[in-house]
Amino acid sequence: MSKDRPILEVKHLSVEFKTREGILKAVNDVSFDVNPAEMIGIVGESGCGKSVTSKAIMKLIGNRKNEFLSGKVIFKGENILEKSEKEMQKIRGRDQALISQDPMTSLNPLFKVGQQIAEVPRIHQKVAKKNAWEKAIKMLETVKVPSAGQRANQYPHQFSGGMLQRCIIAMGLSCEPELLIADEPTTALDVTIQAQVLKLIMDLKKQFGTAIILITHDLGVVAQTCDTVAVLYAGSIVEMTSKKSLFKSPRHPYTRGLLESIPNPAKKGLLNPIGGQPPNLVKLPQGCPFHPRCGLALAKCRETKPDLKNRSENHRVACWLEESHE
Amino acid sequence: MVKYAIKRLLWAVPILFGISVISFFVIRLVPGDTVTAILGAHYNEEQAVFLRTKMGLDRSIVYQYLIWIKGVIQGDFGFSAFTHKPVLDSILERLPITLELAFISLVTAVLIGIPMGALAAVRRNSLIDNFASIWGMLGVSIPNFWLATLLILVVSLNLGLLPSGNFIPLGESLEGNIRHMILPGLALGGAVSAVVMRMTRSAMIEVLDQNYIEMARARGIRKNQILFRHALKNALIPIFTVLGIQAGYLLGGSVIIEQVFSLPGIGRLSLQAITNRDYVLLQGTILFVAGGFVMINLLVDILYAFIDPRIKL
Repeated sequence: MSKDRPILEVKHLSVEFKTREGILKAVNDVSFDVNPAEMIGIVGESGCGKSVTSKAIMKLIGNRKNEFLSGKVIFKGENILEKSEKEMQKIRGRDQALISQDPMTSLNPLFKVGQQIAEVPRIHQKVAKKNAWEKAIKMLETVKVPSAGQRANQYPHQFSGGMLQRCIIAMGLSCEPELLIADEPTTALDVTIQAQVLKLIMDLKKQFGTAIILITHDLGVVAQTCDTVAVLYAGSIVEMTSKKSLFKSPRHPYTRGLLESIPNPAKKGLLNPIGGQPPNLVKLPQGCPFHPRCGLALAKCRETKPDLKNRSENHRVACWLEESHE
Repeated sequence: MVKYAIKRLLWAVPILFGISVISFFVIRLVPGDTVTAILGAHYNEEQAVFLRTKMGLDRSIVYQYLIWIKGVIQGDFGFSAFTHKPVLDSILERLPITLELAFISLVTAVLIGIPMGALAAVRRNSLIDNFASIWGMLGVSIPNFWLATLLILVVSLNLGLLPSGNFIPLGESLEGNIRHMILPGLALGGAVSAVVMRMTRSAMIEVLDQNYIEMARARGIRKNQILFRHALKNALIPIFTVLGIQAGYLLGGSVIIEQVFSLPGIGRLSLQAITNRDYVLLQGTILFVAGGFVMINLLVDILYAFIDPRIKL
C-alpha cells in the first residue's frame, strides 16, 4: 500500500438503532480519513456517537437486527462494512485494535493476564503456545509493566487500573496493528496515571507507526496528543481541523463553547458552559442539530442542516455562519 | 483452602446435630410406634409393654435420644428390629444405588441444561430459546412421579425400549445397570435440567453483556471460543450454586423415584422405615442424606475457588 493513501477512509457513515421510541440516529453521515501513523482525536459530549463510530469501524455493531450501518468504512482499501463476521475476526486484533474506556472490566477476570495477551498472537499469527506466552511477556515489558514475567501469571483483579490499561495496550499492539482505536483510554484513570498512559501511547505510536483514533471528551488530552481533531455533536462532525488551528481559531460555535467550558485558572469569573442539553437522538431537531443551544442561530439554521465544508486550508466546518461570512 | 474445608466440616457438626434432633422428635409425632408396627394384627397390650421395655421405648424421650446420639458419635447407628441388621450395614448396602441415581440424574441435568441454556442465551428469542423456556416451565412444574410413570408407560410398555424397573448391580452387568438407570435418571434429572438451563441462560445473558466479551470480540477471538471459553466459565459459578442446592432435591426425590422404579436405594429404605416406624433406621438415613447434602455443598464452595481466582477460601 502506498504511503500517502489513508489507512482508513470513513465515508458517509451512518449508524441507526431501532428502539422502542423510534429510530435512534447515533451517527449521521460522518466522513473522515486517517493516514498511516496519524493520530486523530474525536471529541464530543457523552452520547454524541464517539464510541459508536469506533465500534462501527471495527464492525462490532451492525450484527444485531436492530442495528443499521450505512456508508463505507474503507480500511486498507477494503470496505469493512461488507465483510462477514468471519472475515472481521481475522482483521480485528491483527490489523485493528481497541482500547476501551474501563480497563477494570476489559479483561476476563478468570484468565491470567498473560494468557489473554498470548491469545492474540496465537489466533492471528498461529504462534505456538510457549512462544505466544513469551511474546506476551515481551509486550508487557514494552508497555513498561514491571516484573513482566511474574505479572503475566497474575489475574486482572491483582492489577491496578493503570497497570491494566497498559496490559490492554500490550494486547492491542501484540500483532502490531495498523490502526488502534483508543476509546477514552484515560477516563477511568487518575490524572498522574493518565499522563503516563498517554505518554506510553505516544511512544508506542512512534515505535510501531500505528495510526491512532483517540476518542475522548477531554480537550486537554487532545491538546497533548493528536495531530487532527474532529468535533462530534449529536452524531455529526461539526468541525474538523488540525489540533493547532482548532485551539487557536475554533470556528464552530459548539467548539468555541467547549473550549470556553475548560476551567482556566488565569481567567477570573465563572465558567461559561454551553446551556441546554444535547438533543434526543431519536428526535433530532430539524436543521443544524446544535441550533437549539446556539446563541448565534439564524433562521436558516432551524431549517436546513449545514454541510461539513472546507472553509480554509484543512479546516472543515459545518455551520451556516461560515456561509454568511463569505 | 484446607483450613476453609476443615472450618466448613466443623460447621457441619452443629447442622447435623440440629437435623438429628429434629428428625428424632418429628418421627415420634407420627401415630403408632415400632412396636405396633411389629405386632401388627397380633397386637396385645401385654406383649407391647414387654417389647417396649425390651427396646427401651418406655424410657423418657430425651433419654432415648441421648442413648442414640451417643451411639451415632461412636459410629453405631443402632440395630433395626425389622431388618435384623445394624442400621449402618443397611445404609451402606443401599447407598451406592442412590448415589449412582443421583449422579446419573446430575449428569443428565448438566448435559441437557448447560448447552440448552447457553444456546438459548446466545440466540435470544429464537426457536431454541422458545423451546428452552417451554422446557424450563414444564421441567419445574411436572411432578417427577408423573414423569416417571409417563416414561415407564411410553418407553417401557409401549415402545419396549428400556426396562421399567429393578436394579442390576454394576458388578453384574454394566449394560444392564445402565439400561435400568436411564429412565430413573431422566425422571429425576429432568426437573434439575430445567433449573440448570434457566440459570445457565440468565447467567450467560449477563456475562455476554460484559465489557470483556466485547473486548474479546475486538481482539478477533472466534465466536465459539468466546462463548464456551470466555463466557461459559464466568457463568459456571451461579450454575454450580444451583447444582449444589439441587443435589438436595436429587437426594430427596430419590425417595419417590426409587419407589416407582423399584430401585433398592436409600430413598426406598427410608420409605420402608417410615411405614414400619423403624425409628433408628429412618434417623440413620436422614442423617446420611443430610450429611451428603452438606458435603456436596462444601465441594461446590471449594470448586468456586478453582473456577474464580478472586475467591479466596
